[in-house]
Amino acid sequence: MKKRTKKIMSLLLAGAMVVSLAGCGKSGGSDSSKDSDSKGSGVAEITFWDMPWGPAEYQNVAEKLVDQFNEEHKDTIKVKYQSIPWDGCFNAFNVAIESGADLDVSTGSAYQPHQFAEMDEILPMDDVVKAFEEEGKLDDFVDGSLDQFQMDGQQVAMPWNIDPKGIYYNKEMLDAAGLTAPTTWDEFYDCCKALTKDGVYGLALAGNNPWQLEALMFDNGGSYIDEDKQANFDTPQTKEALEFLRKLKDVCAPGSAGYKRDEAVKLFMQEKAAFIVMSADFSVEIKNQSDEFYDKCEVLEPLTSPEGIQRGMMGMNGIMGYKQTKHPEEVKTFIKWWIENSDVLWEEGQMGPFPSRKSQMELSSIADNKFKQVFAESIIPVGVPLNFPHKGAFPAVNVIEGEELGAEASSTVLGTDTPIDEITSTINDKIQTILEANE
Amino acid sequence: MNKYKKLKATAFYAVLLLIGLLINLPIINMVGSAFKSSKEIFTNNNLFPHHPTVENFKNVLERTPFFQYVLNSLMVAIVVSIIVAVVSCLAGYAISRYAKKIKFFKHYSSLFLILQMFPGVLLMIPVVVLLSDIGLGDSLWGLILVYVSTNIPFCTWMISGFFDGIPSEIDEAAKIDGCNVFQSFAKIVVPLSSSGIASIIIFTFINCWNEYMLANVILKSQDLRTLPLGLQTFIMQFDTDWSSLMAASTMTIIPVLFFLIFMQKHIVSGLTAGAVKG
Repeated sequence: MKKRTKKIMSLLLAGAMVVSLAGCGKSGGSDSSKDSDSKGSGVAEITFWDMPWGPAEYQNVAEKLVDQFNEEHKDTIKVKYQSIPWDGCFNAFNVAIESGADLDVSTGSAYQPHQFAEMDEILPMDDVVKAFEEEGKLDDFVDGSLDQFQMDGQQVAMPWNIDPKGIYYNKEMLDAAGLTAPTTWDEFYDCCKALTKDGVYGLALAGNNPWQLEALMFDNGGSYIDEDKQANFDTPQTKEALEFLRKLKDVCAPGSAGYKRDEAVKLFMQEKAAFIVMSADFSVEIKNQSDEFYDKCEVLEPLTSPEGIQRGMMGMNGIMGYKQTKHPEEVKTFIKWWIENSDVLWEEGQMGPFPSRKSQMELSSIADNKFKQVFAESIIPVGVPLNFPHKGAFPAVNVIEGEELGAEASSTVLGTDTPIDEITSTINDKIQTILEANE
Repeated sequence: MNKYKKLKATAFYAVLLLIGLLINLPIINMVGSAFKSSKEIFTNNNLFPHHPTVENFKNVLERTPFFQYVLNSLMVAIVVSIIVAVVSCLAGYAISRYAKKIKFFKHYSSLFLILQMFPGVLLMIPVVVLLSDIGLGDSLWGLILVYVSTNIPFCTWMISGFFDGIPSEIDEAAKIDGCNVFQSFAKIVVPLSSSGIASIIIFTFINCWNEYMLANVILKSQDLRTLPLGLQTFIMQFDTDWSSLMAASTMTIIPVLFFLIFMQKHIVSGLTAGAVKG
């Protein structure tokens, strides 16, 4: 090839590369499929990102429910359903929001709407709340669930599901030892102590999981923050809870300080531990283990703490719309419809967490499940979220949860001899730092 | 003496076998767990089930479009591997033979290594914007485009190193015999670099097969999911369907295993190509 031709080819290739760089600019969220819906068809297309709230069946059932919505609204709204894996979900949402990609409505974990509301990316749901109120359905939402998603005077999401934590136990093991279900902390410890022998332990404890600590802390009147959004971890009530957690080391397997969730589950399933603190969806796992094992297990009603309090701990997850949507009214219509028609997600989709509406507690998948009955009747009514006693969550709580301060406190209590005062003081300082940084 | 040598060799291979088993313990555990029922998965601490069952495999195939995930992963990995191999070989040859002769491009190949230090997570937003603008958002071709661009730099650097090991006198000999530059590259240099080319193909294939982060932000439709995304179907917020996950994971490694076995002989043949004189 002649030298001159080579030079021209090189210049052309270099020019092509430079021109291709022009593609790197933030798009306004333009998408040919979305633009087409404004070109005369009259049907608003919205994209719905749903989290996998149940096993593989859940997604299939959810897709059919979306098809049903599309059929009922075929002249006005078309919803595209997409399931987002839990692993890397915050990344996926952040990228979608920042890049303006197709994302109109989603379900999400507890503090996601607050995080995006702080970025001014959330579509307020006050109209949806008003619609429910006008229909007389507002009281159907679990107490406190609507407030949980109130931020700066706006409803940043509608309550979608509730995830309480409880103490499951193997009743057969207690019966064999002549023990009855404990009702107080002292009875709980005594029960665990009596069962701990010959390679069997009273409590299957995952030190790397904050649930045990949080369950005890809230039950005893402690909390991460107070009503005024100040750190509240360094209190006598929390210290008492941590002391009790340290005492429970005697009735757990060696090495529990480093256990993750499934290691504790293994002990419980092998009947080498009688008690375990788990979320509501653990009842599905027990049922799948075997009918025989299901028959052996029960859920404790909330223990009465030394402070005389009975309190449960629960997360609340929401369904939210995004400001980047081109169809805000359609998004609100869909969210209301999805909440009102979601029974099938529990009945057939085996959704793990609880519904956020009281009327849905009568669903057979809940009413016929002995564990879920205890959660519904005894734990949820006294359940509180991580931001308790502050009414309504806010973004800093997301950071507190994300920094795993509860897990840090729990594993330090169980795995070291660090004085409790020092642990509560250190964690309290970290919480305060987070609160101040996120003001 | 012979007996001593045999004993020594036996002991040596026994130790290697033990080390191999230890290294592969997680995979052996995964395969064993795939054949455990949901009852045994938590109650049986042994590597292998007491009562093997194929129920988990049936569950995976019936409850999810698993074969679609396999096809998607295969398509992406094969197409990317082929494109990367072709482009990297061409670029690597140019760097090996010509770039070093030009003062400005003397250390050009080092720039490829510097590019690897760029955190991939920072690319995600511009990549999604770019793909959306050109209509390739939520598509396998969009993912292929991204994988090609992220794998080319390292593979080019790697293959140029292989080409450096082939004396340029061979090119000159080919030129004397009447080959032009491309013929010299295609007929002489590439066959001699088969082990290097096999290496970059394996590297790229495995990268594409295992990659999760970019696939997660680019692909959203269930029928477009690659295997790493598809495996997430069995992972809920706090709970994991371990039986199905282990079965799906076992099926996931099968294509890669066959691929590696197929490619391994090319690496070996490349390594031994010049071993015997004459």
